[in-house]
Amino acid sequence: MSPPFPPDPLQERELMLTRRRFFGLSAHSLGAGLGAMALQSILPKSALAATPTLGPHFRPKAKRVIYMHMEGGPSQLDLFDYKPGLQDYYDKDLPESIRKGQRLTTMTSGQARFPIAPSIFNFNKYENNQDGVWLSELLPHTAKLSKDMCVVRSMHTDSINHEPGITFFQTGNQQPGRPSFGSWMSYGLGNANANLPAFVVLISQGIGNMQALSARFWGSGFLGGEHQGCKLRSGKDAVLYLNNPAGVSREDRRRMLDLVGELNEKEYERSLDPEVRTRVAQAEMAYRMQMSVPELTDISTEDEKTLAMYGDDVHKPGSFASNCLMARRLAERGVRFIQLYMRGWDQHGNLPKEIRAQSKAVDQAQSALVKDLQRRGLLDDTLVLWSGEFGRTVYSQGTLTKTNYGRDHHPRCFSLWMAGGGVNPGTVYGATDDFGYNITENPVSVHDLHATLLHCLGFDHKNLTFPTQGRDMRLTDVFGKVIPGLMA
Amino acid sequence: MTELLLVFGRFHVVFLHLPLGIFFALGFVEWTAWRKSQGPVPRVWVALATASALLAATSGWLLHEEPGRGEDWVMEWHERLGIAIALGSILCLWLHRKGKVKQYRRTLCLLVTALLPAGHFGGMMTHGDDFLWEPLKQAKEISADATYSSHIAPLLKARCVNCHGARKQKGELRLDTPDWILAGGEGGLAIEPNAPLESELLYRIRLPLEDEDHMPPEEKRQLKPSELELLETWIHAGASFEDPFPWVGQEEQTLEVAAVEEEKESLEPMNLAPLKDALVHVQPLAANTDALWIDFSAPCADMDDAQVRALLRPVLQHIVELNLARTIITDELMPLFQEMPRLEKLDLRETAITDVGLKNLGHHPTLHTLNLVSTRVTDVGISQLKTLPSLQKVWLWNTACTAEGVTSLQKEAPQTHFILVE
Ligand code: HEC
Repeated sequence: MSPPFPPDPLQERELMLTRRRFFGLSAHSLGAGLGAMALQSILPKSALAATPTLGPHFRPKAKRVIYMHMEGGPSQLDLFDYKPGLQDYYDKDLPESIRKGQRLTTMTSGQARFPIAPSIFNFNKYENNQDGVWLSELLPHTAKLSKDMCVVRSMHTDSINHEPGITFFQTGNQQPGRPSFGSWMSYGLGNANANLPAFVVLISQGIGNMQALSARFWGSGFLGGEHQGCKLRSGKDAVLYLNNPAGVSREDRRRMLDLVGELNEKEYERSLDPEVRTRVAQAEMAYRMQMSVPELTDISTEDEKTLAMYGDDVHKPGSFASNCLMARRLAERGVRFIQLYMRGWDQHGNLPKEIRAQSKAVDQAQSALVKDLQRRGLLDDTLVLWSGEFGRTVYSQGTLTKTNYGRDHHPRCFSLWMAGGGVNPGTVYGATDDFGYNITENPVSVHDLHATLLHCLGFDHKNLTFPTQGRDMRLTDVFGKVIPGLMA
Repeated sequence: MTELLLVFGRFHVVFLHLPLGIFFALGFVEWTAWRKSQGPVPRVWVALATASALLAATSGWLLHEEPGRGEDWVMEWHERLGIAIALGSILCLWLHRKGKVKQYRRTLCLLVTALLPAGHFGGMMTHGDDFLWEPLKQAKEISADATYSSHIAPLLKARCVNCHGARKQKGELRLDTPDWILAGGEGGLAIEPNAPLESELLYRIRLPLEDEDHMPPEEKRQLKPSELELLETWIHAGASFEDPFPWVGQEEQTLEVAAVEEEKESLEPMNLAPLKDALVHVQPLAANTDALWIDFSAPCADMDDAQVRALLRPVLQHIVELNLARTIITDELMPLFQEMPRLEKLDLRETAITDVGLKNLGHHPTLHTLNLVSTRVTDVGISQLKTLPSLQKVWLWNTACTAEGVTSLQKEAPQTHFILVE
């Protein structure tokens, strides 16, 4: 299916030019055919903006993704992975037979002892479609989703630090530079709404210890700039410099873009630099977003009851609650991949206090988001994923007291949950040992997770590829297997 | 030189007929001679037969040496028998020369018998496994329903079980028993009952031959279009391992495939261009299918009934999922849905649709999911949906429907799930 390597440069140029002409033609016929429609004013004259899309391999269960990334690594032991037996091990040393010389971060590798810190939080059992799921008292609202969510307790990752950990989760590789999941979706499925980017990123500030979030987490790598995630800011200007400068009208803008587009076309024909096309596509997208973004962010049309569902914070732009509401609005508007980041789960110390506040900030809103999608009939084809980049250690980092402890990074096992399109609802998958340290049943790697999510989205992960650097690149690199147990 | 040899190899298809003819004739002549207690034929005839056998065997062997010729048991046995016959014919000649008439005639008899399977295997390779019996089978198939054990299992056994069976489990997949088939392989489930477009097994078979994931692998005997259609029909009907499913037999089926293929050609790019140009989202639901998902909701909210109708008209046959949510369409558009014979999912969320429009959904045969969230439909309106034979899910939040109305309707139409979350 993939083109031969290396491509013959002359042939390549020929191909690019005919492809461009093809788009050029369709753009013309559009001006003629739809003259009467109001649309016309927003359509580009330049031919370069359009890109063909691939389409799914088999009929997808899910058409879009809402991925809530909990930056910092939430503690599975205080939220999802109930280990009542640990109470007896309070302040005892973690047995070496469990740790097996596992590498540690430099934050605790120097520690003289590894005293076990049982969670101070209570867990309750909630009905699901199996024999119930134990969840922490920190997530009372999320617990109401027990019959909808699939809790995975046996995730593991290769990385022990934030930056490579998040990069791995987003791109399937620890080194930065590969396209992120959202970009693959944009490349594979294209956009269902030509007026908004296919991949949108929303960031909420957390309460506790926060790590940097680099824009490369939503970068598109070799897939090209038009598949890059578009970050929406909170506050007055959701997208910086989107509005026309004072004194420039929308018509002026259109004329300017058309002229620049013509120049770019010439440049493209000369250099065949794909970045030229990307640039034109982005300028056109920005022009259309001048109309679509204000409509998107205007929540005055939401009724009071709905707003109340998400909690009081929903009125604070940039809060997790506000971003959850925005996620639903983006989903309704056909955006393929909606990435929410919640910062501040990196609780090396003072964990009990910080995780309580952090959980409170997300619990009601994330539950409301799922319920809101559900009653609108949108959950069936929206895949919701909630995860950090790794888990946290069962032993305390720093001093352990009856009411206070910290936890270091732990890649060997952690928990996440999913819901919606294609996901096996009301189930728990995988298990860990009595210390919540090693996986004992059904391990799921990050590649496996990616392969499974792609499957729900209609893609054979081995065949969603892009040829670059001499081989067909994939989100799952050369790894990953689909896990039927996670799917409905 | 090697090229010449290759050409010589290809002459196998010509040479092979010589020993067939000569040996059968020789056999017949010697048989009548034996009955009449006469002596054997002159040696030149035996020598001719031997030469023809050697010619056929060497050319066949060279043909097999060509790169890209696959390996399977048919090929293997054809080759073995061919060589054996060539050697046997030399023996024959020698016995004739020595005057051992009895042994000569026995060997000849053996050779003629061996020619039957050798020729048959050769025929299988060029014309397909059941070339001979096909007319018989077809007669059987046209009337009867098919079942897993009568149609599917033999097909999988012939084409797949070599690599996906007890001996080998390529891709951790076995296709030899129902349990294994349901278990799937390394990449997850292999079949999704009722959903051919979601089934990995069909997806793999439909991939282009060059694709490394294509099944069966490129060098193996490929499925005929009618066999693919058979698998598709079986999965579409629920992939049951016991119940029969309707299967009209090969000839008619192949015609249907041809018809679909013609349609596909007419689909691209002419008919989709106006939709795409109007920024309506159009996407095939899977690779290699003409089933479409069309989404007007996001960027085309301001298109009225007439515009929507004009854009959909050319592709009515292909629409399987249609999203008109948040557009300004009205009840006027509703009769159009009757003209979409394959429509399964319809999203009318946040539109001006009312009970009046719902009446027009009538007996739509395939519609299974209907979203009416935030419309003005009422209990009276949705009670008309009882007549939809395939309807499975109806979303009703934020409508004028009441809990009581929905509960009582639910009792009357238990196969449909009416969802009115609060
Ligand atoms: C010559 C051996 C061979 C034959 C014959 C064959 N396959 Fe395969 N099949 C393979 C190999 C090798 C793989 C694993 C490679 C891969 O995963 O891409 C595989 C993988 C598969 C898979 C994916 C399994 C998974 O879950 O990863 C499916 C489905 C499949 N085959 C279906 C079929 C069907 C249907 C047939 C018959 C029409 C067939 N195969 C015939 C060799 C074969």
